[in-house]
Amino acid sequence: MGNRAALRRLAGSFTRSASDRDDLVQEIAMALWRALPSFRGDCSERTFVFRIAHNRCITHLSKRRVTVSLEENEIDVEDPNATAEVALAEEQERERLLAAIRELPAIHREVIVLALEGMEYQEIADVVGISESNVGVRLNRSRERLKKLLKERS
Amino acid sequence: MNSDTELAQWRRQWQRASDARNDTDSVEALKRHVTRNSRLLKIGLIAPILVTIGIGGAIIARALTSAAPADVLLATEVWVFILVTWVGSIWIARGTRRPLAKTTTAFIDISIRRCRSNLRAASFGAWLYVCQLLFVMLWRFFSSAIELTALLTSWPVVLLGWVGVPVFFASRSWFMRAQRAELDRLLDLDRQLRAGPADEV
Repeated sequence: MGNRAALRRLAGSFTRSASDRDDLVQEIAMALWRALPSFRGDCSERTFVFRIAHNRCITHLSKRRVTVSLEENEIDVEDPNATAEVALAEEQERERLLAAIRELPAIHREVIVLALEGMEYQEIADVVGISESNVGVRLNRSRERLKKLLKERS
Repeated sequence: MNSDTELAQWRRQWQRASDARNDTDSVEALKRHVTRNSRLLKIGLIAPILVTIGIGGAIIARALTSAAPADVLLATEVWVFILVTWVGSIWIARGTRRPLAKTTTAFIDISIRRCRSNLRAASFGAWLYVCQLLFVMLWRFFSSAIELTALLTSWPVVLLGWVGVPVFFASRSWFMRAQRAELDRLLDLDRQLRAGPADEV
């Protein structure tokens, strides 16, 4: 699973705790396992994986009301050489970003998360099922909302 | 800060979040989860067929060996019940088993259909349960000339009727409430996602 770290981040933006995120990652793995036989190569493997994962994340929102709980956020720091202060500041920034993303409505969250994973407009359009121009409009609005939310949190 | 720099900075922050520490554990957990779920899926597919063959076969064997009209009547009714259950279940689940939805809205549409199908199945199951229970009680009453009090206090009626009915309807009510709540959220998501940029506030 080469995309596993990205899938965990994606799941993390649709859940409120580490255990919820792990459950969702398992659901995604199961959905991928079931869907793999139907993969015909009409899109890239990454698009296929993200489409399945994204659909699972969106419907996860329907299973329960997902509210933001900053206390339960768990993001691990990757760089072991960073000083404690820098690492703490970076972690706080990431927590702030994740919390703000979790507050976005589904329509904005889905495009911004995929954009943060480094996907091109065409790939996002394929995953979400909208046109490229629509991705551009949604992404701009998502960024504006995200910026506003981050300002409120600073 | 221009918007491209800002997005690049967010992207950096976002992609630095990692869970490398738990790699081995989570891969093992995923394997366990997939194995467990695939086993449950197989059981879910095979169990109704085995139950049909088991109960349907036993009831026919009983009717053939005794040749009593009451047993033939019971066998006929049980097979009608089995047929109604299968046809009804397949009818209710139609359109909910598409393998892979290409877009999110299509996926949500299938999820909505599944929710509605589950709600219909819960009502259908309740009717089947009550009808079958009543038929078996009437059949027992007339075929064995048992007294009403004795019938109502016999262990199958106590288990499937006095205890089974409240338990069945309580769990059905809980299930339907959960499904309705999920359906409401799915419809809300569907509205949000279909709205499109032009309709957004």
